[in-house]
Amino acid sequence: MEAKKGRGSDALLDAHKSGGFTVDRDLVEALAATVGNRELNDILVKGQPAPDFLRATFVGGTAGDTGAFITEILGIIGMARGAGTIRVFPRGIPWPEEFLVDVVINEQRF
Amino acid sequence: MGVTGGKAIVQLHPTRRCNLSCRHCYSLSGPRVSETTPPPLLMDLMTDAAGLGFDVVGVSGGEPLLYPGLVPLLRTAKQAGLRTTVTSNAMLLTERRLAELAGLVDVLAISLDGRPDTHVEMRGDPRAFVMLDRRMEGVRRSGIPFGFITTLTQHNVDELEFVVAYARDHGAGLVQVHPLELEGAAVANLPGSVPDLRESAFGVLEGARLSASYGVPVQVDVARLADLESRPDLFLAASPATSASLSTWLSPVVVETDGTVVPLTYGFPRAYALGNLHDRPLADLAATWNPTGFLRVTAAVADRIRSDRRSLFNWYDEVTRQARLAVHPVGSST
Repeated sequence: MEAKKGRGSDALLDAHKSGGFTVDRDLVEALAATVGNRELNDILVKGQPAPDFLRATFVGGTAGDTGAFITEILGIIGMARGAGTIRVFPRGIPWPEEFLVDVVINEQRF
Repeated sequence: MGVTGGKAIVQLHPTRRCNLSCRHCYSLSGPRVSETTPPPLLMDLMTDAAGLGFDVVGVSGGEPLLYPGLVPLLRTAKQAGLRTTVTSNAMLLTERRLAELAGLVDVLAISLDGRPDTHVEMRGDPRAFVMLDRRMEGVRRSGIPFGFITTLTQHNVDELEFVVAYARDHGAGLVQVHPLELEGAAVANLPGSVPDLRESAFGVLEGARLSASYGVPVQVDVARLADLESRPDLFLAASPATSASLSTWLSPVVVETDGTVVPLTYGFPRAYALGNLHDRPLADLAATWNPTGFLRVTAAVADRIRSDRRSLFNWYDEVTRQARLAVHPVGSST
């Protein structure tokens, strides 16, 4: 495959980054419920009276767990294009034992 | 019995003739290769395999549709009580061929290596995707259960979604994701394309996500350390009862085109072969095979993976490489 030399996972993460979402209370509550039983490293929600920015970093678990979890998140936030990112970081050198998931949601303003 | 999902499988490569010369073909099959296994040899094998307790016969290649003895072989397998799978690039699956196969094939595995441009590049034929796509309506109408098998490389985990979506849209029952191994044509064509641990991990992750999203089971052929530690018997890391029938502890057993019977994978080092069907039937080969050296290899692989704490690994590839190393240690002149 000489025409395509990059990592497939980089292209996959770029695709996640280009997905975007609108922040509203329902979304924040649904997301909070979903991440509720995860190991949460950091969460930041900004915006008054309605939240328009959310950032959460949490441990997704093993590859299989994280895949299912990302599916849940994508189900909640939808796939509308706009300003939102999901980044996944393998943690563990040299063998990734778990994945760190970083979700950032900005409300898109037109 | 290995990591083949509890089924005892005999895998056949009855011809290395193929209508394509794929860049990743582990058996170096192609249009100019004529090697085939005599049909009577394999038809006798079906009865033998069933008698030994094997459940499934998988026919791969080469392109199985170019094997003249395919239909009688499958019929014999069914009569012997075996389940059958056929792996094909689909380009030759005309309505007539599908009608011949209906009732004789339990699962048809169709190769699809990503988005159309990637599939065409891997298959080395600009018609590869268009013809596959053209055959899909007939495949669906035939009623033969089918799935897709795709090769994970260092570069294409982002294309799994296309494959799974395509599978769902055409009514497939499964997507199997197999990591590229540096064997056969891939040695020259795809150096640097074997997925490393990060890409394998993302393959598992993406497989789980897509399976949940699309409702199509996605099986990624990557083993986990957790499985090795909880079920060492599946990885032949604990000594199996080799006095029992071969089918109870070893799967797959692979019959190469020249009749050689090897454990686990096509191209497994001959030093560990059970023998050749041209010399003796499978039951005899199984009865006289001394698996000690082979089991020493699987145990060494398990020890190394546990010691390295490797979370994910391609077990077949690890065992094959360890076996080669045992036969020809690094630095040896052979």
